Formats: sequence, C-alpha cells, structure tokens
Amino acid sequence: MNKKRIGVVGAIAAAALAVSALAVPSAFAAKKSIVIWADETKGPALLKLVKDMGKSVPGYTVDVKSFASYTALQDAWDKATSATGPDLLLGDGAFATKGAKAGNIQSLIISSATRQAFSKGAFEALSVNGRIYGIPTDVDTTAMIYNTAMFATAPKTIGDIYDYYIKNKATLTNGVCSFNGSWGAQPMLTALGGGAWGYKNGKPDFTDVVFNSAAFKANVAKYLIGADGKTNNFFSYDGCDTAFKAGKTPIALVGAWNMSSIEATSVKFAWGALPGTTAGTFGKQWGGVSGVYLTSYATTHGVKTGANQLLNKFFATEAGQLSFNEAQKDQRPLAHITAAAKTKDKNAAGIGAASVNSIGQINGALGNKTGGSDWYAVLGDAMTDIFAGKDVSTTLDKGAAVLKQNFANHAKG
Amino acid sequence: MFYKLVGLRGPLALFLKLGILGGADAFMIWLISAAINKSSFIIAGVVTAALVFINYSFITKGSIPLKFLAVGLVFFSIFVVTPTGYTILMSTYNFKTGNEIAKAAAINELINNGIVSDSEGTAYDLFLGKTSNGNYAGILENQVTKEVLYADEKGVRPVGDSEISRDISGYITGADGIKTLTDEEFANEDAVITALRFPLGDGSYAAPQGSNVAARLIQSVVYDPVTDQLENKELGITYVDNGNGNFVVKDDPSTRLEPGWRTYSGFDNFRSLFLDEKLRNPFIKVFIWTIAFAFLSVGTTFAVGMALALALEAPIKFRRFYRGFLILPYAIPSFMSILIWRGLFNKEFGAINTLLGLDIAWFDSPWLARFAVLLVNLWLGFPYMYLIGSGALQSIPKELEEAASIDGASEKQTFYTIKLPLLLQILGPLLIASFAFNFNNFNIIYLLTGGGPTNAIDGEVAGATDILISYAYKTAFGSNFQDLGLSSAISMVMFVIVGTMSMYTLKKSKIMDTL
Repeated sequence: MNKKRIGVVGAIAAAALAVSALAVPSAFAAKKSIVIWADETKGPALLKLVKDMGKSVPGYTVDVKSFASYTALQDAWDKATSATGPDLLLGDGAFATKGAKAGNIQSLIISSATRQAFSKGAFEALSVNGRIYGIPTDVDTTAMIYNTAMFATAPKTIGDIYDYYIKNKATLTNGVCSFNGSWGAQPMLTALGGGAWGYKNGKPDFTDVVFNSAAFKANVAKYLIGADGKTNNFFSYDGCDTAFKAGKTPIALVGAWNMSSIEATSVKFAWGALPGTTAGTFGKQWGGVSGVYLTSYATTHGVKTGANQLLNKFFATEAGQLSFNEAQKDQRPLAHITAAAKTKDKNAAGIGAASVNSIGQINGALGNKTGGSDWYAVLGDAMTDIFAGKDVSTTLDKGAAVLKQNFANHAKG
Repeated sequence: MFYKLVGLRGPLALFLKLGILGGADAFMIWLISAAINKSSFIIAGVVTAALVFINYSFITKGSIPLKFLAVGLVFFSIFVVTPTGYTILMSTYNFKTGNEIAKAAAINELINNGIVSDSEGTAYDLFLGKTSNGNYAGILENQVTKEVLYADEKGVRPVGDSEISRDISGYITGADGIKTLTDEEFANEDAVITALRFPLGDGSYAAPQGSNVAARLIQSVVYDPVTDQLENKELGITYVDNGNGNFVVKDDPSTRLEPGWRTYSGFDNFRSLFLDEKLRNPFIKVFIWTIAFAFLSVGTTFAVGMALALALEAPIKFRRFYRGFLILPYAIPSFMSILIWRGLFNKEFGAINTLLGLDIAWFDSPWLARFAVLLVNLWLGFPYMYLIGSGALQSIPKELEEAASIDGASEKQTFYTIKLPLLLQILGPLLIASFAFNFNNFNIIYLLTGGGPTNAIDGEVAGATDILISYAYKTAFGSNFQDLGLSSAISMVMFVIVGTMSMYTLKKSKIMDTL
C-alpha cells in the first residue's frame, strides 16, 4: 500500500468513526422535551416545578433553561433559531409585541373558562391586534407607600404632601420618591394631569397626547420646580430610595420587588395610591403583565400540542399559578383572579389592591420610536432638562411632538 | 519540512500526519453532521469545502506551499470571508423586526393567526385514539351542551351511549373502534396531532388543544398560492404581496399584516441611508465624529506616546521603573479601565467632580462627553504608542544623529528633519492600523457613554459620541425595533471607508514598497 492510499484510507476510517459516533446517541432517543426559557427571577422557580409541570404533560419531559438576567434572556431570544429556540418563553409584555411582529410567538386559542379566570386587562396587555399571545402570570405594577411616622393617614391631595415637604424641607431629602425610575414615575405624571395618552370611552386614544397638557405644564411648574427654575427635589425618580429607607422621604412609589429591602429597615409604612391635585383623584401607575408564550419553534420541534397543554393545564390554572408564586417567593400580584385572592402575602395584597387603579402598559406604543425616540427616552430627557432649568412648556411640547408621531404610527399598525 | 525540523521522518512522521489529519477530518465531519441536523446548510457547505481543501492539500503532492497556507486560509474564509459575504448579502435585504422569517413561515403564521374560536368559545372534552386502520379518530363531548360526537378527518356523527364508556367522574375513557394512545405515543405524534382537523360540517372544525381537550375553530384567513393572495373571509378583505416583504390590504397598501418576511431589496438600505433625511442626518453627524474621533485618538496617543519615548530615551535615573509604570494602563484589561473611568466621571459620586469641587454632568453635554471619550482613549492608547515609539527610536542608527550634530544641526532640527520622517516611515503601517482600530473602537463608546448623550426630546436617533460601529449596533440591536439590513449597509459603508483610506494612505506613503 503506498503512502497516498494509506492517507485516503486513514481519512475514510476517521470519517467512518465520526459518523458511527454520531449514530450511537440516536439509538437512545429520549422522551420528547418541552423546553422553557426564563430569566433569573422566574427560571429558578420553574426549575423547582419541573416535576409538577411534567404531571400536566405525561409523555413529555419539561426542561427549563434559566438565564442569568433578563438581558441575557432577551439576547438569547433575539438570536434563537428553530434549532436553538425554546417551546415556551416567560417574559414581560414586550415579548408579545415583538414576537407577534416577528412571527416567532404564536397566537393562542383561549377557552372561555380560561378567559374568565383572568382579568380582562391581563389578556389585553398580552394582545396584539386583537389576538392573544400569552397566558398572563403576574402583574408588574407599583403602589404608593407612606411613612406612617410622617403621615398617620394617607394624604388626600398632592398638595398635602407638597406642603409637608416644604414645611420640613430642612430634614427631608424628597417629598415623593419613585423607586423604579421613569417607569415608576407614572403615578406622579398622571396625578399632575400628564402621562402618555388620553382615554376615550375607556380605551386608549393614541391621537390624544397628554404629555404637554396645559394642566400638566402648570402643575409641573407649581409642584416640581423651585424659585431658581430648577428642581425643588419634591419629586425624584433617580437614586432616591436610600433616603426613603432612612426616613427622610415621606412617600414612595414602589413595586413588589422593592419590599424586602424596605422591610429590612425600621420605616413603618402603609399602603395607598398617590393622590391627585384634588381630593378623590389619584395618579395611575403602569400595569405591565408578564406572561408565558408559545413560540413558533414548538411547532418545528413537534411539541406544539404538548406545550399548549402545559400552558392550559399548569400556567393558566389556579394551582399552577399559586405553586409558581410560592416557588418564586414573589410578592407580585398574580394575574389569575382566584389565585391572586388566595395569595396570603400582605404586600402582594397591597400592590394587588393598587393594581386595580393601574393603566395598561401598551408596550407597542411605548416602545415605538418612529418619531425618533421611544416614550422612556423622551420622558427621561424631558424630566432631566426640566429639572436642570429648561423651560417646562417648550420642553414638554418638544417631547410631545415626538410622542405624537410614535403613537400615531403605533395606532396604524 | 515540519517533520524534518522537529527531527521526525519515515513511517512515524507519516502516521503522525495521518493521525492529525484523521482527527481533523473526524471533527469536521462531526461539524457537518451537526450543521445538517440543525438545518444550517451554509455552515455545512463551508465546512465541507474546508474538509476537501485540507485533505487535498495534505494528501496530494500537488502543491507544497498549500500545506502551509491551508489551515490559515480555511480560518480566514470562515471568520473573515463568510461573515463579510453574509453582511454584504444582508445589506441587500429588508431584514428587520417584522421582516425576519421566510415567506412560507410568515404565511404559516398569518394562517395560524387567522384561526379563531367560534363566538361562543366552544370547547370539547376529547377522547383521542386511532382506528384499526391506523387513522386518528376521537369522541368529542361539548362541555356545555354535552352533545357527544364521533369525529375523524372526514367529519362528525352523533354517538350513542352504548358506543362509549365513561369513568366514575363521567369522562369518556373508551369508544368502540378507537384504541387510545399512550402518553408516549401522544408525545411522539405531537406534530400529527397538532395538524388534526375534525370537520364539523359548517366550515368550522374541532382541533385538539391538548391530550383531552379540543376547541371549535374557524379558519378565517386563507392563502391562495395561485394568486399569492390572502383573504380574510370573515371581514371580506383581500391582502396582496407588496413586493417588500408584507401582505397589505389590496385597496389600502398602507395597512399591512404582520409578520412579514425578509426579502431582497437591492440597494434600498443604502438608498435610505443616503437619501432618507431621518437616516441621513444622524449618519452624517456620526460619520464626521467618527473621523474626528479616529484622527484625534491616533494623534493624541501618538503625540503623548512619542513624547514619553523621547523623554525616556535619555539615560535618566529610575528609567526602568518609569518604563514599566508607563505600560501599566496597557496591561489592565481595557473594559475594566473604561468602567473605572466612567465611575470617575460620575456627576454625583465621581472622583473628578469630588476632588475638583465641580458639579459637571460630564456625559450630559455633547462636547464634554466627547472630551471624556478622547481623554479615556488617550489613557488607554498612549502606552502602545510609547512602546512602538521606543522600539522605533532605538532602531534609528545613532550615526545619523552624530552626523547631523557634526554638521551643526540643533536637537530640534535633528528630530524634525531626521528622526520624525524615519519614525513615520517605520510606524506608518501601525498608525494606519491604529486609525482603523479607533474607527471601529466599539468598546470605549459602548462602555463609557453608550453613544450618548442623545437628545431624545428632539427625536435624535444617534448620540453625540456614537461612532459608526456603535450606531450600527444600535440600529441592529439597540431597541425593540431591530433593522439588521440597514445595520449591514452601515457596516458595508464603514468597510469601504476604512479600506479605501488605508489603501490610499499605504499607496501614497509607499510604505508597502519598503516592506
């Protein structure tokens, strides 16, 4: 045998070895697997529930991939292919909006019984163009808590809080603190007559941009701006949580996820809703809904019916939602009506009561940036500029011009 | 040659060669098989080509030089040529959020979205199984009316109580002529069960939604492959292909259906980049800053690096210590340095404001943010220039300096007329490489300022410190709306600019002639 032939034979032998090595695993075909992706807040809880979930889909195995962060999950989802993607995905409402557009999240057929088990708003938040794209799990919203050493009962108007702040300015850092940035500032915006869009017949009216309403302009100038034309620090949404925990701010706008750090302090608090400029009116917070989504990859993986069954028999049920909540040790209000009522945590109950007052966080509109920038960027920049001394009216008008284009284009579809 | 160099020859060398080649072949065949399994046919094709090429190079005696270049060429083609080719290809597609999947997949999704429940949301308890001839059949029990139907793919008919059996709770657990499925059988045939339709005779059908539940559904949207149109039968609307990756309402093309699909769009992305005001204005602004940033970065780091190299050329005390000290910024991973600098510039807690008693929001002002970027890049880049400058200075023959000195040239004259031209001759290629590096210096922008500040209330898309690469990244991945086609077009423009400038400079300076 000459050298050339030995080389060819060697290469063929190596190839045969590689192919046979590949053939071995296929002989031990495993059960069909339903793969679920979630972030670091929900993933570990799902890992604890793999057995429970498996009982809802006998014949399948359930595999959970827990990502280190929400960003990591989002990043992996953006890069997912039919070869790598999950069958079910847990995430916030933005996944529904983007997935419906991209075609990688499937719309669901929801039975009347399941529809009735959830609040109407919960399914609306996960709907795009009238189609439902997810089973709601929990509600991401905020509520007001007030330091009971400063207010024995809930303040009646924003003016009450303002007067208290001005009177005790020497010892206070802020009057109202949003623990969750500009997203959590929504009750203050709406309490002062602002916000994103108006409502007509109880439905969002995207042609009515209230970001620069006359009332909001006047109230921002009255309550949020000092004599020097800059912020009077009555309201802060950036790094103000420490002051509340130190007892130097009477009011905070908080989410369920903020509660453990607050409860670790000596601050005594009670729940409520941020009052408006007149008694009996209240600011309204965003009510975002997280959900479980059926991906288009479930079809390519041949597990769509099984994944659908897992959605309906576990995630959409009272028992499933309660066990998920228990495993998460989360204080977010559950989306399932009877499951939420059975949640014993007092903070979850407080937030849950406040969530009644929330407004739908319509991610498609808020994330639209056809006007140049999206809602959060416009709001952040506008507040920064106003607090730094720029003219309130001009700044809000400029922001509203961008938002008008965004919302109009969102409404067009 | 290699075997001779390491002292190996004869059968041992041959077997070593065959062993390495066989191992590489096995690995590549495994890669091909894995790629085919994952339907990544382009990757499978590229690896197959590499497999053939490497084996040809090493098994035949046709081309000895190929043996030395083959592996490098394979990696070059995988990591440079293929991504470049893919970027060029993507720049000619409308590949963006809403237009990501193939047309067939988009049609499938639109048809799936066109499946709706009936107005009552009719649901059935389902007993599913197979008939003796292997076809699927089931017993449907309406959850409200309790009507019981035998169903198969031909249709439905009423069933009498004598034909079915129930458990203690009243659920149907058996039916004449239908053999139930085991859990494993159900799971293994999921795809078939997903596609099952039991026609109910009025245009609607019952479809399984799990192992024991079905829903009455109506297919409101249908696709006609002959006319390539979608029709919503409920609303009476016809949708046509707009030629740009979406079905649109026939009478109102501004209303479109989503998802769309990615489609070839020729030079549309480039045309938008240069002609659409919303894209062109930020692009020009970013382009100017990118050029300025790259030039100023190379200029400042070169100036400081050379100045230090010249200063330390003289035999001063502690020279070794200074030299070691100066390369420290180069030894620390740049991302760590950048993040530390970001902290130093923090308005509230940063050391710069605290120590100098300032209250400056460094990253809120466009010019201050640009200054900060250049300053940090100077910190990161001068050690490199110092190192190569020191090396270059040492390579200039001392005789030249001595001759100039004898001829009466001052130190300044010697530097500007002898040393600097020689240094530029030596360092020219490295300066061009440094320019190209800074042109695409994503890390410093992303980690220090994130491209900001961006004036969002004026609707600005690009930030004041965004350079083309960070702008391309933002366009591709920066928000919920991702435009990968446009981002690829921006990348192509960058490639052409850097390539042209480098080629022109290299040619003009005749540096390559001397290498």
